[in-house]
Formats: sequence, C-alpha cells, structure tokens
Amino acid sequence: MQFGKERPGADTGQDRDAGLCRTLLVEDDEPLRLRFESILSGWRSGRLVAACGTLGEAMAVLQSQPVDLLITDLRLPDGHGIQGIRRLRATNPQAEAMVVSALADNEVVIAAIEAGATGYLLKDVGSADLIEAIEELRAGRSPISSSIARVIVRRLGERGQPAHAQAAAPFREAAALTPRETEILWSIAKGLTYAEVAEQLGLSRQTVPVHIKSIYRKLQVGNRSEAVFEASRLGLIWL
Amino acid sequence: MAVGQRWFWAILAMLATMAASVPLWLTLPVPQHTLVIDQARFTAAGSTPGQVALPHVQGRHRAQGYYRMAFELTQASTQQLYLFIPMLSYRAIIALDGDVALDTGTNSLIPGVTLGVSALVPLSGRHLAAGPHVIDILLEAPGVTRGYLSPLYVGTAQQIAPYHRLRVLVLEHTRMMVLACQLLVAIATLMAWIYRPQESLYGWLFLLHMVSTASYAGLLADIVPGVFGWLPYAFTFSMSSVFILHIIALKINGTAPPGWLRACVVAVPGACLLAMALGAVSAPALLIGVVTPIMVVSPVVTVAISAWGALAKKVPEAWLLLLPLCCFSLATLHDGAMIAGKVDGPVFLSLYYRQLLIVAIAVILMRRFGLSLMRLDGANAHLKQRLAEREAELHRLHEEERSEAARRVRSEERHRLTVDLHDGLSGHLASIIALAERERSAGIERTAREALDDLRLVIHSLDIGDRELMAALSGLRERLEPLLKRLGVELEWSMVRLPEISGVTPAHALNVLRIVQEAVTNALRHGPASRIAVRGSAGPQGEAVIAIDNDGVPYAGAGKGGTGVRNMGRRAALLGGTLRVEALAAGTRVTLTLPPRLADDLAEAGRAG
Repeated sequence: MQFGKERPGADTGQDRDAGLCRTLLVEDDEPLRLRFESILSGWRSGRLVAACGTLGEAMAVLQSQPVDLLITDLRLPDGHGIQGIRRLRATNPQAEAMVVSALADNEVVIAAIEAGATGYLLKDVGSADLIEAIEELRAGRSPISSSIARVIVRRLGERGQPAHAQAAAPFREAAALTPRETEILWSIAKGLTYAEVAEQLGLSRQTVPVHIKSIYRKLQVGNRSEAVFEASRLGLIWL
Repeated sequence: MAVGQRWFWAILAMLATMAASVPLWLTLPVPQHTLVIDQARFTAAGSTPGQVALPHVQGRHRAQGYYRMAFELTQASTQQLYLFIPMLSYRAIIALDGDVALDTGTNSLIPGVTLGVSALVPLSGRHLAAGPHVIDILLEAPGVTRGYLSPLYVGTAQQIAPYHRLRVLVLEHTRMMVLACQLLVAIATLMAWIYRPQESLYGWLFLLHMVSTASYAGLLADIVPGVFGWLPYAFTFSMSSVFILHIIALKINGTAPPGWLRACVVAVPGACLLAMALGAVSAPALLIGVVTPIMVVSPVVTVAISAWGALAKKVPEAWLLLLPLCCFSLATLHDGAMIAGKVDGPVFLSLYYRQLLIVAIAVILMRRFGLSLMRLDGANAHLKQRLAEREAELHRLHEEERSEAARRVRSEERHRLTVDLHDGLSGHLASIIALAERERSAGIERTAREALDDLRLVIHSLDIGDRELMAALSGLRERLEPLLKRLGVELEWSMVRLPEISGVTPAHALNVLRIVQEAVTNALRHGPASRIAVRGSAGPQGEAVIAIDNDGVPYAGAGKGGTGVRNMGRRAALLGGTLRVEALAAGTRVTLTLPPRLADDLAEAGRAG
C-alpha cells in the first residue's frame, strides 16, 4: 500500500521549503487522491507532506510532522476527517483545515466549521480553482455559500429558544458576531453576491471573505465544550 | 349617572312609602245618595240606654251592646233594597223589624284576630213596605279591642254593591292573600333552605313565615269548634316571630345574631305559654300585659337594627328591609294604641303590613338570586373565555407540533437522502470525474460533471423554504461561477431587484433552477456565448422576472434544439409562469416570469412532471 507514503524528497531541502505551505492530504478514494496529489504537486507555494488514505495514517503524520494545511475528506474508512481537523488545531492552532466534499452540503460544512475548518472544496473542483481556494484561505479569506450562511443565520436565530438548545448549543457558545459580520451573513443568506454585499455595506469585495473567516473562527467549538461536541454533535450528525 | 341613579332610587323610595302608608291614612269610600242611618239607641250590658252617633266605639273590651236604629221608607220600593254596614267589629246579629236577618259570626270570614268586617243585608217582603222600620243590632266586642259600629246605609244594589265589594276585597280577600303569600314564601324559603342549608337566613325566613301563620288559627273555627279557646296560645306562640325578625335583620346586615337572641325565640313565648298553661297568669292578662307590648315594641327595635345596617354599615339590602319595617312598625304601634283604647279603629293594620314585609323579603331573596346568577354568569363567561383561550392555545400548539413533526420528518428524510447521496452516488461521480480526467475521456468527464451538478441542484433545492427563491438561485450561481470561469465565459449576476415570491417549495425551486440552468447550458451549447447575464427584476404586478441574456447567435425559433426550450416552457407552465425566448440584436434572451404567489397544486404537478 502506498497510501500515506511520504513523498520522496519531502524531507530534503528543508531550508529551501521553509516558506512553503506544508500540506497534508487525506482522501480515501484513490482516483480522487491521485487527482488532488497531481494538482497540489503543481502548486508552487506549497509542499505536499503526505497523501493519506486513512485517518490512522493522517494521525501518524500529524504526530510526527508540522503541518500548515490539512485538506481532508470527512468520511474515512477508519474514522472521521473531523478528528484529524481537531488534532491539527490542537497541535498547531495557526494551521488551516479544508474539507473536501462531493456535495458540500450544509451539514457537512457546518460540522467541519465547528471542528475548526475554515474552507471547503468540492471533489470535482478544477485545478486552478483548487489552488485559488487554497491561496485565498492562506490570505485570510474563506468562502461561504448562501445556503451555509442561511443555516448559520437560522442557528444563531435559535439562540434564545431553549427547545432547540441541543442543536444550537455550540453556536450559542460561539463568541458573539459583530454587527458587521451579522449583516454580511444575512446578506449572503439572502442570496446576494460578494460584490453586492460589498456594495451594500460599503466594503471592498475582498473584505467580505475576511469577515467570513472571522465568523468561521467564532463558530469553532471551543475546548470547553469539547465533551458536549463529541457526545452530541458528532454522534447526532451522520457524515 | 350616579347622581341620576340616586334620584331614581330616592323617588322610588318616596313612591313606595306613599303606597305603603295608604292603609294608615286612607278611609274607604262610603255610598252616596242613599239613606244614611247615623243615630242609634245604644244599650250596654247592665247600663241605661242612651242615644249615640255612629260610628260608635264601645267603652269596654269583651262587651256586648244593643243598638236600635230606625228608618222610614216614604213609599214602597219597587227595587230590591239593601242594608249595608261598611264596618263593624267584631260580630253582629242584625234584625230587621224583629226578624233576625244576618249573623256575621256565621256568614263572614273571621280570620283570627283580624277584626272589622262589613255586612250586607237584603231587605225583603214587608221590610220594603212604606213606613217606619226598625233595625236591631247585637254587637259583640272581641277580647282585645272594643266593639265598633259604623253608620248604616240603605240603598239599591246599584248604589251599594260597589262599596260592598270593595270592603269584601280589602277586609276579607286581602287578608287571605296575605296568608297565601305567607305560605308561598314559606315554601319557597324552605326549598331554598333545603338546597342551601349553609345559608341559615333561609331557615330563619321559613321559621318566620311558619310561626306567624299561627295567628290565623281562628280560620279553623269551622273545623275545630273549640279553637277560639286556643287563640291566646296561638298568638303567644306567634310572638316568637318578632325575635326571628330581629335575627333576620341582623343577618341581612351581615352581623351574627347573638346567642341570647336565638334563645329568646323559644324562651320568651315558651315561658308565657307555660305560665298560661299552669294558670299562673290569666290568658287575657298575659296577652294584654306581655304579648301585645312585645309585639308592638319589637318592630321598632327591628327598625333600629336595619337603620344601623343601612346607614352605618352601608348594606344595600338593609335599605330594602328598612322601609317596610318602618311601615310595619307604625302599623303595630297603631294596633297597640287601638288595643290600649287610644285610637278608635276597628281594623288591625299590622296584618296588611305583614304583606309588605313579605314583599320586601321576596325582593331581597330575588335580588340575592339575581346577583348570584349574575356572578355565576360572570364566572361562566370567564371560564368559557378561559376555556376558549386554552383550546385555541392547545389547537395552536397542536398545529405547531404537527407542522414541527412534519418538518422534522421532511428534514430527516432530506438528511437521509443527502447522506445516502453523499456516501454513494456523489462520491462515485467525483471518482468517475477524476478517473475520466486521468484517462482524458472528456465526454465521460463532462457527463459525470453534469450528473454531479444536477445532483447538487436537487440536494440544494431540498433545503429551500418559502420566500427563498433568491437564495436558491444564488446556490445555482455558486455552482455556475467556477464552471463558466473555466470555460472563459463572463457571468453577470444580479438578483437584488428580484421580488421574493411566496409559496416556494423545494419542487418549485428545483423547477426554477432547472429552467435557469437549461438557459445557461443552451447559451453555452448553441450560443456559443462569451458573456451571460442573469438578472432578476419585478414585473408590473409584483411578478418575479428572471432574464437570461447571452451574446451568442440570436435565437431562430424552435429548430432541432427545441427540446430544451419546450422543457423550459413546460416547467414554467407548471409553476404558473410563462417563458419567452427572443432574439436580441446580438444574442438571445430567455425570460421567465413567475406569479407573486406560486400555487401548491402546481408543485404537485411539477413533482409528477
């Protein structure tokens, strides 16, 4: 099995790679893993540390090597990508995590955001788009779709209602969003484009995804509620 | 309003007082234009005869006196004539020209102590002959008052009858009415007491009416011949009613009657009866010396009690009792004065005022019933309102619960579907895309991408709620953006002016998204466009108008590529909207117009299609 095999030359030329983004790829589907591998190998600003097919391999890599960016599938043969994200965030709080999903449907993305991911990719993403998405994330900007914004807005709206306490608990504990962030979230949830949001709120178009990343960070479930998260959230959501 | 009401009550009280005091000042009318006999020769037992004027009151109690009167008929009358005695007390045997014509003791109703009757004697045969006639009357006085004889009248039926009937009504029928009312109220209060034993007022009212009927014992004279001997006992027994009246007045004031007063109800008449039975005191002496003073003075005490309740304690019901009590008290004082010989009158008035008391008590009882019913109605209305509110609340909760349950089921179903698609189909499609890419099978890759895109469209539309068409469209935009960017086609997207339409369901949303996607796909396939603009705007009637423009080849009617356009048109029709495809100067425009409110059944049809 060559899954998780470290790429030849990965441990050579450390000095030369010093400024590069050390990337870990976790994807159990072989054709897709190979596809992402080939795309990422063409990325000049980053270096693929390893491409793993299982969570175990990924955990081993995270244990032994510093990783700046984790690109992971969620459903893995021996576990869940979220566990990898949590491990990454624990060992290196500065590191970024992106989720790879075939549909990028709301529940998957929200769960990943709560685990600490700040970006997501579609499995059929084009090579240029993939690199662009990573670059954007590295630059402090996160993407958001209107439907995910809608879910977040809905859940934030449920804060005051004890009946939904269970579902909204992590969101309730999230640091309060600033009025600007709330406005952005609402506008995107309504279906406006970044450009329209920026125009309405008098921002530059590039500032919108910066706010989104900040929102994601605030939505990340803190260590304090880790137990609650593990017990309820992960168990309740079938990913 | 309050002042007006006060005046109303004041006037009503004045009228009631006037009406109630009628017996105190009213004298019944006497026949006019008849022969009046107002002189008599009176012979008291054991004394010398003397001339007296009528009306005449005898000097002593329990006495008999003879009256002889004369009248003369100038000519023999062709009409029937009557001798009318408007008032006599207590019993008279009347003889005409030596023939006994009437004994009121046998002919008139004498209900106990209620004295004063009228008598009507028809003249017949020789009594109608012209010339002088003699009337002899033996008048018997009762034990407690003096005998009384009014002037006599001789006249025709026409002249006499109305006055006689009035006397019969007032002196006989009214007295029986009092008894009837008393029995009626006794029964009513008894029933009230039986069903509401916790209100002792009803019990006392019942006792009051029962005890005071004893004074009517004289009515039994025809059945029980010796009843007159028992009358002093009956009167003494009925004396307890005055103590009961005190208790009732106190209860109406809202004050608990003291124990000694309750004891008096039994103790005072009981002691008198015992003394009478043992012969310690003679019955008439006891009646005159003890029973009568108590009966006369007691109502004054009751008046004081009610006045205290009405004025000091501000009990409205005490006012209702106070007025009749005042009259009743006056009447008893009048009767007391009559017995004492201070007032010349043949009729005891207290009996009539008992009627008034009964009316007042009935008014109080009805008022209480009315108020209770009002309170009951109020409570009922309140409860009904509360019940209705509760029911509405329950109904609302039930509806909420139902819609929540339905929403949950839909959400779970959607979730399961998404998970299944996510785990299976979509992963495989992504894998196929990766493989085809590697194998450089452009056709397979494109088809797999289209399949995955369509799948995302379906999944995405599942999440769409009402008034979220704009959000649904933006989901499509997010998927189109990278695709068009890869193809080097510029996308201009603006939905800010799209009105939010209602009645949007996932099925509606999917149809709209498919139409827009088809339009974009057509633009890419047949266009071939380098620039696509999707714009939302509002129609004149609030319709949602979505226009998809491209800068490709202008549309040239439904040719071989007409299937796509026909599909779009069918979908638009299912949504209750319209689709128009038109050629621009340089390019094609597809315009989808949707009504402000999408119909539900169309959703069904849309799903079936």
